[in-house]
Amino acid sequence: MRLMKRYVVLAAVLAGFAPAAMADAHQMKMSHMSMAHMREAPQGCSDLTLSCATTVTPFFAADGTLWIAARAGNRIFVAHSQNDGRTFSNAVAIDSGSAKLDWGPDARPKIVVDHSGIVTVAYATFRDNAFDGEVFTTQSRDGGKSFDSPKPITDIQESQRFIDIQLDADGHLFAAWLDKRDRVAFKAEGKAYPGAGLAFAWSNDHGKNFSKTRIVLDNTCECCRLAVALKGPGQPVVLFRKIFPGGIRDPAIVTFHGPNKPGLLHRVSVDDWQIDACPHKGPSLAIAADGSYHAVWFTQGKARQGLFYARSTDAGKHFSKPLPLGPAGQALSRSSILATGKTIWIAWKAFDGTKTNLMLMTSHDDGASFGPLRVVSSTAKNSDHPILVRGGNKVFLSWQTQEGYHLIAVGDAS
Amino acid sequence: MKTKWKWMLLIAGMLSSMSFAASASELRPFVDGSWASIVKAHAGRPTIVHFWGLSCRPCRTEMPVWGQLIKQRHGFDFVTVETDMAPSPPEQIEAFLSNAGLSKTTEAWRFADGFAEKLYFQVDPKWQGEIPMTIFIGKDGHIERHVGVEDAKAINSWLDAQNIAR
Repeated sequence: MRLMKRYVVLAAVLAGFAPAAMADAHQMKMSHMSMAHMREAPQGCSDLTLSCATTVTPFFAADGTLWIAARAGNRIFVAHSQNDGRTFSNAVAIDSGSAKLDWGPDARPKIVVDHSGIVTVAYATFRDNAFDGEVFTTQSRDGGKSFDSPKPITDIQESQRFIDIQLDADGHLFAAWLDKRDRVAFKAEGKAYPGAGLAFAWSNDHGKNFSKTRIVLDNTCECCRLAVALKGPGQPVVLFRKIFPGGIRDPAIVTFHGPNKPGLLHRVSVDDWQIDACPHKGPSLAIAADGSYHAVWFTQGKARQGLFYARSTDAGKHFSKPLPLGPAGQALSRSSILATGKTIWIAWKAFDGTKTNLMLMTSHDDGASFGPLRVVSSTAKNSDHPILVRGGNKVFLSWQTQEGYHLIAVGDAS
Repeated sequence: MKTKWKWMLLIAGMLSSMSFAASASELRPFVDGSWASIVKAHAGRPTIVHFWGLSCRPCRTEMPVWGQLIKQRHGFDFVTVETDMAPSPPEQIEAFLSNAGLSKTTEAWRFADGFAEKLYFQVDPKWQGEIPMTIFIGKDGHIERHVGVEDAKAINSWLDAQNIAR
């Protein structure tokens, strides 16, 4: 078995992150083998290696195994690690066929592993030259050695993109994505149909089959990812960019009261971002043990511009005053948020004109207050979205850059 | 005879490669520093730089409007920059521009550096890649940036202000 050897940065980022540790981390990153140019990767680099990957999505299984689903060129592969990313198993390709994978800036393969060890991967392709998408899922029931032929999540041929999948505590798999099936009816009536619908389905057989697709609502921003978190078994919560009247694209949230009972829409923030364009920047969502919601989103609205955090203690009906993330004057993007106990972790990218800094901010009182900003890592090359992930009692930042893959331990899960 | 055929094949191959090179060069690579060079190259002339993507539905809907505009009004420079992160084949982009009424003489660029954050920042530190996005550069160098589908009236007003004849 050929192992994909990976360096891993295990510099624990506690209060007062040591400059020496940062320097070490930087040296380790620089020693990575250089990966192909990310722009060229879809055409030129499709080896099933992390050095070729442009997006990497992590998931820690209950047994502590780190799984990743990665896109390299026009291929998706899965690998796993028993030692927090120091080495990985052989990469196993998903047979995604000849269709182009959805390479939108907010698109990525998603992966979950349930308690019985079944691995489910979800992703989207572009089915035509008009960039209409199609969502697929596939499973491995032999510990990631092989994957079934991917199946469309729905038979409907209208565009689908930006799937997210989450396992609830009862082992049921929730899938949500953006779906344009309703535009057909609107078009038949001569009505405009901006954006896409928010669609969902459940699988009660470990991802083998999904229920009939249901649409929660229409007119969400079609080019921004959505975020899903679970309030409890059968109670997903979805945060997304909604197109409000007047073409305002502000963050909104829906809480399910049961597996097929989506609740009312609530607006997270009145940013007043009127934009008839593709922001390519979806939000992030976490739900803490006490049931509080924690949201991060990007806006260029009239009311505020930048990356913002807010929390809700009444199941999303009301959110706190948006807290701007920093540093001011830098291009902030690609947030990730995680809740462990009373600790809220927020990571994002901050481009200062020369390099992209990986920022981290934590709260130990359920988001009421936050500690100082920390620079966890940086790169002067292209980079993927950072993703916060819990593995056992540790919290990691997963970050693919042009220099290689990094799994950075940033602290203990409280 | 064999030698003659060899020469003919060689010449045909050279012509073929020259033709391909000319076609590919119509889309200029937009990389680190390209924005500064565009601004410098068009200094003193009213210039509209339109950032778009083939994958962006509003962009595709809007582009023919720009094609009509440059047919109707003259005396300003129009530049397009395609910003999709995984580019479509150049032929597809060129065909789309041509179908939208933008001739092959229109100055057309495409992002050719994966470090998009840097390219965005160089164009405008507040721009994070939302498209369509249009930058209006006046004769005096004054820059205005608009995100979203442009309003034809607003464009014509700007051209009027630049003393571009209707």
